[in-house]
Amino acid sequence: MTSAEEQGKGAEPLLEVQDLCRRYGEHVILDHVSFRIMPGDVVAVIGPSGCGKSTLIRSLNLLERAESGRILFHGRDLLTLSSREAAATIPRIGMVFQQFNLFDNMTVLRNVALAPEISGGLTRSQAEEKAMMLLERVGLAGRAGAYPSHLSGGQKQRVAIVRSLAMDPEIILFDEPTSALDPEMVQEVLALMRDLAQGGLTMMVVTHEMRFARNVSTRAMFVCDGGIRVDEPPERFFEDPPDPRLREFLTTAGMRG
Amino acid sequence: MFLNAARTALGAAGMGAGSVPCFYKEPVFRECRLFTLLPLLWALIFFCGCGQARDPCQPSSVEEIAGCRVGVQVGSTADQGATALLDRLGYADMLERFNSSPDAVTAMKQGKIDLVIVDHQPALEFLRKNPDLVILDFPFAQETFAGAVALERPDLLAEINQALIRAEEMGIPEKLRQTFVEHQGDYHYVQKNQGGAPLVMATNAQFPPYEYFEGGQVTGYEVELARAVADLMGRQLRIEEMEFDAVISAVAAGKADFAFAGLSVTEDRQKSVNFTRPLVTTRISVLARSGMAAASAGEEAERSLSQRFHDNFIEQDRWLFIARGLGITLLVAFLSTLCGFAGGFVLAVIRSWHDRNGGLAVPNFLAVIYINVIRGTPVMIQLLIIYYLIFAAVDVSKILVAVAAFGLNSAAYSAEIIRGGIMAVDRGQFEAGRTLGLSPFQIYRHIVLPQAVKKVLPALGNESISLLKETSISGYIGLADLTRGGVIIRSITYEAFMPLMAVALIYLILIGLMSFGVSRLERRLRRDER
Ligand SMILES: Nc1ncnc2c1ncn2[C@@H]1O[C@H](COP(=O)(O)OP(=O)(O)OP(=O)(O)O)[C@@H](O)[C@H]1O
Ligand SMILES: [Mg+2]
Repeated sequence: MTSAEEQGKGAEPLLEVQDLCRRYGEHVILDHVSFRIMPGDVVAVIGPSGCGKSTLIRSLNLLERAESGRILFHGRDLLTLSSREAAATIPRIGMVFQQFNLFDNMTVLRNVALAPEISGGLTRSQAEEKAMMLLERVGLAGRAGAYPSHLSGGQKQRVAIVRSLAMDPEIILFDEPTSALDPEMVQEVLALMRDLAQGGLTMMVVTHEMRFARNVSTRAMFVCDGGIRVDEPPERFFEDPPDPRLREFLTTAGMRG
Repeated sequence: MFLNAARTALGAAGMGAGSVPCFYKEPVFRECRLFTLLPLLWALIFFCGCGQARDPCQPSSVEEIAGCRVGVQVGSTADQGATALLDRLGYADMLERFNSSPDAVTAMKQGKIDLVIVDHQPALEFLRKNPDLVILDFPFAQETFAGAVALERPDLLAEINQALIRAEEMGIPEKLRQTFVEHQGDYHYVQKNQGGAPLVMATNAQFPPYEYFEGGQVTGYEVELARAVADLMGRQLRIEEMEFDAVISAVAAGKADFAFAGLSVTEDRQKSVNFTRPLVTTRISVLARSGMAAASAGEEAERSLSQRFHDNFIEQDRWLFIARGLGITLLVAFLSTLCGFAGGFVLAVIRSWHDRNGGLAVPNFLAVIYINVIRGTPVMIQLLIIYYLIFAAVDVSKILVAVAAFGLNSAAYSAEIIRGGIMAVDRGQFEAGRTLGLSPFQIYRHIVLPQAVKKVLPALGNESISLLKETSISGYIGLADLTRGGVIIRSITYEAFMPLMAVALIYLILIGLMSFGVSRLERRLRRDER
């Protein structure tokens, strides 16, 4: 069914969501949502504003508490883990935010090296060596000593991506990573994400960048009215949308690609 | 006490306000904001002794005091007598109670009151230094001074009485009376006993000739008699100088072993302390301005500034009261700022941890109560409670008491400032930390607190500025801080202007420097953000 399974990369899903529910008062945001992500999947999540994309993706690493359902990561339900076990598992699921959320009081290097050092079990010098190596890979080694406030938006987001990579995650969740950026900086971030996808990293990306979804993802999801309405390979999703709401959405979104 | 001083100042301010016409015109009220400073300025000038004397009020009997504005030292026998008399005559509101009798005399010289009722010997002393005063012919009352000892310590009372009897047999009181009261001969009792357990005496050194400051030391008839008594008991005398109205409670609370402070024996006081044998028998007199008042007030003003400066600061090294006081003020402010920040930090972490992460319900509840109690009561009351109730039985340094009081007070205010800083750290910083697998503790330690502290440093700087000013009430537990240094000089020289201005100027410079530091810090922090 999914592209990953078709390619036969593995039979075990990396992440499996079953019957996830979440409401704010009367307002049901997630209504028995179920899906699975296989290793190597690059899932683009698309949908109208306020439909619950952030709620969905933030539930996966417990930033939001789902009311019921199961989130199986390598077969173990995150919702039933003790807080100690959860703390050990969460960093295996990376997260990149719309607003970057770099630690303002630290240099770029410390931003990247902090977590590997104090929760990843590396020594300080090991952590900083690793951070330096990753920064070099994205061409930001020269800014290692700078504070976040001295970086451009594109640089900040690339540092944020590097910071989550430093914990060696098995999947990275992106919540609109380019929405807060000036247009001229969007491409440098998307290019880095494309490189990561081509390198085999599993990703789930909430985005309004249709061209990116079309060209880079292995699956595209349309989230609307409390559930996943469409979950198809991008060719089908964009060229032959099976859902009238999606068709309407793609038209009003001025889908170019 | 302060209340009365404030009332007199307000009265003067009222007079000033009366002559600013725009105060009564509603529409231009807004433009007149600046003029509100004027009455304050005038109040200051009045306070400096430029006030005009009213019609002389010179009664010829106790009953005729009715209708005069009368000043007394709060809590003194004169206060009790005058209160009873004026209440009976229906003139209770004509009585003003001052912190010390020199304050009352100063107020009288400035024309704020007409008469000062005070013990006869101090009255004579005032007369000696102020030729423009007179003692009225009729005595206000007769009275006896005695020492005070806590009710629970009859043994100590007996010991002191025995020592007093032996001193009388040796003729010491009579010889001291010659020196201090008659100003004949110069017999002084120098304590011989340098060892022995300390014997702590509470007193208020603003009551010449019985107890007063000279050359920075407390001396006087009763003080030297106390030295003799201590010698005869084989003890080492230690003198604790404090506000007069604190003396009895200090003895009753065990803060001091006994008190010689020109205390007259009254029924009320006998409920809280036992009295020793009489130390002095005297009368209470009525001081008034003589007809020369206005002329000599003019003279006073004409005395050159340098002469007045010399009298207030150079003579007998009086500047030392201010210098030593400054040291104590700085020490108390510095230490209590540190305690306040440390305590505030802990409280703020508890409060915000509870708000952000849940948990810590009980510590949070206690912290909320603590902060509300401290912020809901005057710091002055807190200081007195800590001194008289919490440290009642323990003999600790007053500096420590002040640091504890101001530190605990500042902790509550700092806590709210720091908590504000923590809550102002963006949620996203917590979330990023959590997704990287950091524990809440690690997030606080490495990310949230460093950012919060940086945000609130200027506000904490301002908090320490308020704290420095608040320490000026330390005099209420008898700590000789900067403010009290000025008050002591004022009580010696009867001049308000020089010592008060000097003290105000020093505070102004200190706070100016601190404000400068805070604004530089603010600028630097803002620059770092770019
Ligand atoms: N704390 C909250 N309390 C109440 N309602 C909330 C809360 N957070 C989100 N919502 C509601 O839940 C719905 C889904 O929000 P969510 O942020 O997941 O949407 P989204 O698809 O990410 O939208 P966007 O494209 O604007 O980011 C919205 O309608 C929002 O109003
Ligand atoms: Mg969103």
